Order: sequence, then structure tokens, then C-alpha cells
Amino acid sequence: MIEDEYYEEDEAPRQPPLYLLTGLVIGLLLGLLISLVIAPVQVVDTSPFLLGEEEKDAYRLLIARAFQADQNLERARARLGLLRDNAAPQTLADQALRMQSNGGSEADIRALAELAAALSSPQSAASTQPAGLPTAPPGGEGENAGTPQTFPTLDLNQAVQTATPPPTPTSPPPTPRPTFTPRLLPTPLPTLGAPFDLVEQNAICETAQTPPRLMIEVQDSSGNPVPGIAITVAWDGGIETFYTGLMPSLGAGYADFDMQAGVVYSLRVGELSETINDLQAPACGEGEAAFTGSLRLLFRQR
Amino acid sequence: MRLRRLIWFVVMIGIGAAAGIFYGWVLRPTQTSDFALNTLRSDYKADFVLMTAEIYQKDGDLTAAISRLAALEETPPLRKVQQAILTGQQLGYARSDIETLAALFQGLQKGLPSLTPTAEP
Repeated sequence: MIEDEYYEEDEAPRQPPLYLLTGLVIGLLLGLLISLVIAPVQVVDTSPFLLGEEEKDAYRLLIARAFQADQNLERARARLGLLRDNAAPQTLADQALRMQSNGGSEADIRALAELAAALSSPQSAASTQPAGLPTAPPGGEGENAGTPQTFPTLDLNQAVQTATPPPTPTSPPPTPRPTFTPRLLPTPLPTLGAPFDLVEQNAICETAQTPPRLMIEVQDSSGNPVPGIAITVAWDGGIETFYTGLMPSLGAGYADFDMQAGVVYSLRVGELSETINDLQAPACGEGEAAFTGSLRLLFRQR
Repeated sequence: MRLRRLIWFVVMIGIGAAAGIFYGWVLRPTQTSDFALNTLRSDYKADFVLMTAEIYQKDGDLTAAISRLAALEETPPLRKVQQAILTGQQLGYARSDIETLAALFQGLQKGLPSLTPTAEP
């Protein structure tokens, strides 16, 4: 017995502890199997600003369509605030342009353009809404009239990652009550069906303006810029449709198109307006200083 | 001696498993953005459904509404709207918003008769 103990204690240090290493490896494999295959991490409870680009586009489009439906600019602004985009009007306009180049739905492009224009309008800028904090529109009728409306919480900074199975959904944390802000009037929209007339046509001879552009401004009957109006330009061998309001910094009713010198264009604003023919980039200057200028057209609704 | 080895063997398995789980659940998930719509928190999901309902109220296009709801997550549209109504009530949505959601719910019930609970014969 003494000899046995002697041998065991004497021999143990000389044997590499393979059983310990084997146990560790087995455990490690087991742990990896559990954490990567059986119960991998699942992300839940994220905020809109953590979405992927495609999802953000879908979210933004939904906001624009909802704005088109209810004309509630403050609500749209609050929703866009959830995406934490500092240049929301430009992002909307960029998305509209992307959709246009990808052959997206006309209604969707128009919705994005309208919202971009509404957010860029001076009326919208007059709002003192702090960035990122949604302001609810006035409540509906009855018991909720005039009371602030609760909106999704905005203070979540990161996603929560949980292992499978995810926790049972619980009621969301208390939502801060937004302050009441009077609802702004929506950006004026054109009267449906009324056509647009060409009221001004000017040649712009500025050397810095390259390439020559067809610059279009569309106004309603009161002279307010109108976003989201489809403008179709056709020439020998091509046709293109674009929309007003996609460059909010230049005006809600503004749109432009790069012209080619010597090419004759036809143009139509909206669906019911008359087609304007024989539009060409003007020749500016004389002799060696000659260059091709741009054309500015102003359309107003009847 | 064998028992002692067995105990240490089990302890090492436990340590290894803990390390593996720590790696899989804590160290490896490095994704902090680019999430899908179905990962949104329930109140954002409710607002997503509300936006869909607002559009539906305006254009009455049930197919488009279903398509928008499908982008949110895979659960049946009726359930999503139902869940949004419950969340909206919990969060104190304005009555008009709850009515908007309810209108979409009713539209879905009419448009998706197969999903409507029917009385037992």
C-alpha cells in the first residue's frame, strides 16, 4: 500500500495530464456547439438606426408613404429622427434618385420627393423641434383631443443580444411623453388634374454652368413650389422622367436635366400639361468666347 | 485516485464549455448594425404597422399593406396588427391611431377570410 502510494505520487508528475487537456477540449467543443449551433445569439429589440441600408430605405419609404397619406409632417420628422440621419431631406432625395435610376415605382419616388421637399421648406424649418425628439400631433377627437401622443422610445443606443430562446416579450420601457407642438401645415400640393403652363423661359449664360442644364421650377397657382411633379423630357433617341423636389437645397419645386448642345428637346410637366417643343440649349457669347448656356423654365399651375 | 482524476476531468469539461459559450455568446457576435426589420423592438414594430395602416386608410390597397407587413416579419399579418394594437394601447397611442390600426385589422379580416376564426358548426 505504501509502495503503491509511493509509485502513484512519484509517477504522477512525470505523466503529462492528458486527461485534463482532453476534458478541456471536449468542454470547449461542447460550449462552441451550444453557443454557435444549438443556441446561437439572436438579436432582438434593435432601433431603426441600427438597421441595414436596405431596411433603412424600406423604413424611410414607409415614412414617406405614411406622410403622403396623413400629411403629418411632425410625425414624419419624428419617425425620420429614429434613423438618426442628420441630412434627412437629402437622404430622401438621394433615395428617390436611386429608385428612379433603378426603375422604382413612380408613387414611391413621388412620396420621397414630397417628404424631402416638405422637410426642406421654410415653413418646416421654422419648427423648433429638437433633433431626434419626436413631437406628437394633436390627439384625435374625444378623450384624446389635445393630449400629447406617445411615440416609440428613442433612447435605445444598442441592440440587445440574447441567446436562443429569446426572452418572452415584455412591455416596452416607459416612453418619454413628448411635448405638444402645433401641427404644421403641409407643403402645398397641386390641385389634381390642373395642368401647368409655361410662364417664363430664360437663357442662362453663365460660363461656370457646365454642362448646359434644363432648369425647371414648378409652382402651384399661388406661386408656391410643388414637389413630386413628374417631368418628362424626350429627344431624338431618348426619353427620361424625373421629379421636382429631389434637390431640396435648390427649392421644393426645382428639377434639372443635363442637356446636349444641338439636341432638340420636348418637355411635359405632369400628366395633363401641354408638351413644350423645340427646346435647345442656348448659344451664348460670340466668337472664341462662345459657349452653350442653360435654359430655365418656370411652370405655374392654372 | 481514479475518482480524483474523474472529478478533474469533469471540471475541465465545465471550464472548456464555459469558455466555448463565452466565445460564442459574448466575443463572437461583433455585429452591431445592419440588422433586419424583424429585430426591431416591439414599439417600433407597432409604429411600422401603424404607418402601414395609415397608408392603407388612404389608398385602401390591402395587397400592398400585406406586402409591407410581410417585410416586417414572417408572422401572419393579422397577428402583427393585433400585436400592434396591444402595444399601441400599452403605450397610450391616440384613439385615432388605434382606430387606424383597427381599420387595417378589419380590412385584413375581410380580405383574408381563411385566417378569420370561424364558429364551430
